[in-house]
Amino acid sequence: MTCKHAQELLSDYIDGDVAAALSVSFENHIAECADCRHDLSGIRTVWEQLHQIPAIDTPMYFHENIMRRIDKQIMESEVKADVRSKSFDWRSLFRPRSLAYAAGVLVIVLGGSGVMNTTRAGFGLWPWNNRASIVDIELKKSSSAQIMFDTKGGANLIVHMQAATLPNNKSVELHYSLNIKGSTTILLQGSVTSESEIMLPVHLYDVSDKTFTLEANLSYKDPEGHETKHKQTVPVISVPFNSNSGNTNPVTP
Amino acid sequence: MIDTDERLLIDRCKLGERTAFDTLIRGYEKRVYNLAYRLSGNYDDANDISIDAFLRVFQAIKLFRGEANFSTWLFRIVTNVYLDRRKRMQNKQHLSLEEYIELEENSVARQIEDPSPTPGVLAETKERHDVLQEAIASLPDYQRAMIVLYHNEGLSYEEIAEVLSLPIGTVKSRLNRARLVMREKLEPHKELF
Ligand SMILES: [Zn+2]
Repeated sequence: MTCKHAQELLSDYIDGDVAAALSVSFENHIAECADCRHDLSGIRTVWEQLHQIPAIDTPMYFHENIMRRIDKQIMESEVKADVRSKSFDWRSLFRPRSLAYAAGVLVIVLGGSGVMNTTRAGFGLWPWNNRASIVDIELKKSSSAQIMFDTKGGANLIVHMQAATLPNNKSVELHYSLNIKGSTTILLQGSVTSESEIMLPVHLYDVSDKTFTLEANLSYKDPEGHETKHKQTVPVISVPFNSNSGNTNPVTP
Repeated sequence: MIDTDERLLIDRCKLGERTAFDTLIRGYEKRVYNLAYRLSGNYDDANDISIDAFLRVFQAIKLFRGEANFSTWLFRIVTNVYLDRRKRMQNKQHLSLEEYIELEENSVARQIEDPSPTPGVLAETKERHDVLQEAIASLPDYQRAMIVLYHNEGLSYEEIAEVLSLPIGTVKSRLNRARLVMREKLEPHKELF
């Protein structure tokens, strides 16, 4: 056996993966050749040393940070999908895909005066039936926010917005800045038009026994450049979801 | 053998179910982080690589056909994220070979200064750990990936060939070479082992 051949077999030999016949000629070579013998023992040592490497622990909030990035990804793709299809199908939100991680559905609707109605709906109730009007002159009547609790103590908040049209039926563009304040503050900014509704999903961590508020700052610039501002604050009081109440069987629309 | 529970979880992930993904990755986070750490040699990069890899997994899980183990597929993604980052870094800096080697040495030096994330480990164990990590960090990318996948993650040669898209013979010969290089690096520290 040549040194080259023996070198190729080193790892396999340690693995016990060399056929008996070949193994004999490999061992004969090792017995004669100091270089290859040296390599064999070296690899054996390295093998043992490598198995002594301790596993290190993941940093704090490692899992949470990963899921935050995933949520951002989900949010971006849903917003993109929403922009693409102007006729957004409401029911898709409540199809099993979403239902599977929602232990309950809470619809929060903001009254024109800033007073909020909360409606807790179990599965099978279509929340849009419970939507009273939000809003004000600036946003369309159907603008609202929904909370879907997940089973981990968090919740998914989805804010729906569409700008109202001007009295002459002209479309407008509003700039919005939403502050979702709870244990942490989340800021969402962008613009919304009369043409299509936008949907902003936000994942909230640990909503149990915490109060969240949704503060909406809207501004509108008319063609002359005059700016109108409007601010609205919605208390989002999370109600711990009791899975025993209500129908928990998802109903496919 | 593929775990039925895991198969079901993966099917749910393919439908875009967030909780299923949440559960699925919990079982792999530590291994992914360790792999990323052994590959990159520092904690910050390990964190970034892991997060990027899980994001790619989330985006691509629909394409996972279940022919390989999920872990093999996952490690392939982690390794690719790492190699892509290396490539991007090298392109950005237009490094010559000499500078590249110098950089490798610097990254080793920096790595040694990193605080150990495992307090309470005996000093001697820590030193041994550092010496090993330093030796691993000094290997070329592919050899390092193989060493870590084989010895830390317990992958077979077949699985490594799949992860790195290399013929199995190449995996074996490069691993051989890598172990010999490791031997050279560890020789002066014999007393630690
Ligand atoms: Zn020889």
